[in-house]
Amino acid sequence: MPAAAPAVPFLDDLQTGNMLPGLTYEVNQDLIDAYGMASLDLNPVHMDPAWCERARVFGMPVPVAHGMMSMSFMASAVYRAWGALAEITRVESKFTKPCPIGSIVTVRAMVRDLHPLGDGEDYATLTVEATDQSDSVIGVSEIDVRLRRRPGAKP
Amino acid sequence: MTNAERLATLATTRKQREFDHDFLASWEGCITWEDAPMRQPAVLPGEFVVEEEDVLAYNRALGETDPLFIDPEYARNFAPGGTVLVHPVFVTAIAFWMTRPGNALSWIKTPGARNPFQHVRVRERIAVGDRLTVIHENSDRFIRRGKPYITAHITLRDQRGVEKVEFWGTLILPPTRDDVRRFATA
Repeated sequence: MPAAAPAVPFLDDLQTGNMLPGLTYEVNQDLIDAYGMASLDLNPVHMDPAWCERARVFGMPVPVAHGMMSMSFMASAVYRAWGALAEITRVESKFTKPCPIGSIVTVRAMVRDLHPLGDGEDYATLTVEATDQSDSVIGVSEIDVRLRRRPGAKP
Repeated sequence: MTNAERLATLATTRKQREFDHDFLASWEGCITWEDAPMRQPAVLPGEFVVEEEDVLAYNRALGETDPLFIDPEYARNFAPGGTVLVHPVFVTAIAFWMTRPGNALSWIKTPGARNPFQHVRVRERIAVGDRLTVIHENSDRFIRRGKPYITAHITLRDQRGVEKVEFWGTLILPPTRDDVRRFATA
């Protein structure tokens, strides 16, 4: 039996400023290959080390991680903390720095806003930041997660 | 072994096996920033059938740990709908699968393109078994800090006609066809 997954919190259990547990991963060619095949994004800037050495798209001779992979990991930080049933309704990401092979990326997510709208439309907005081993920001996201209210909760 | 041959050995799903592993082979079929038709919504030919193996490959690539993402047997018993759950950024695989040389979205396969920002909005979670129709338009192109940006607006509808996901994908493209050629032939 697989280990129990984390539970999705109620909106009422959150406070602005709450941090979710961080997520760390190492960018290597195996990870890039797996993501590239799964996303069908086979751009050689990610998938072809020899081409990268010649083309130097970002001025560097090695493959860089897909921006969509960074975006995915930023959403995954929410899933690791709250489980796969967390209902993400928006992911908006900006990529600020190329992320070459050898990077160690840490993703940190924080509850920024709570939106107690009622009628099942309640949600939280998280800001998520991905940084490399030199603490440079490689990507930032805003993520909305629809959340239930505790029974009887008031706005 | 060429890089395309290397990538072919990594394929684990039907779509991955059938996909063209030579990204650069069709570079001349990438529509350029200048030539991209703007604000002309169209249904892309065909549909994207969401297979369990597609979703598992995506979730496992990210190292997901929740069994609802990676364990089909567990998902059959405990997931809403009884199938492994789909990650919101899985839309990437849909966009690349549906792109064909020469179509209005073909610029997403431009050699030398850069990814500045992206936006996914989920109305209803995509599910295994969905047969998705893709409506696409190039919704904007603009110059920022001297660089040419282009945005695709993609809407995914399922077999019931329910709008499930909207996706705004933006890339910075090499400015000219010659720049694209330089990357394609590097």
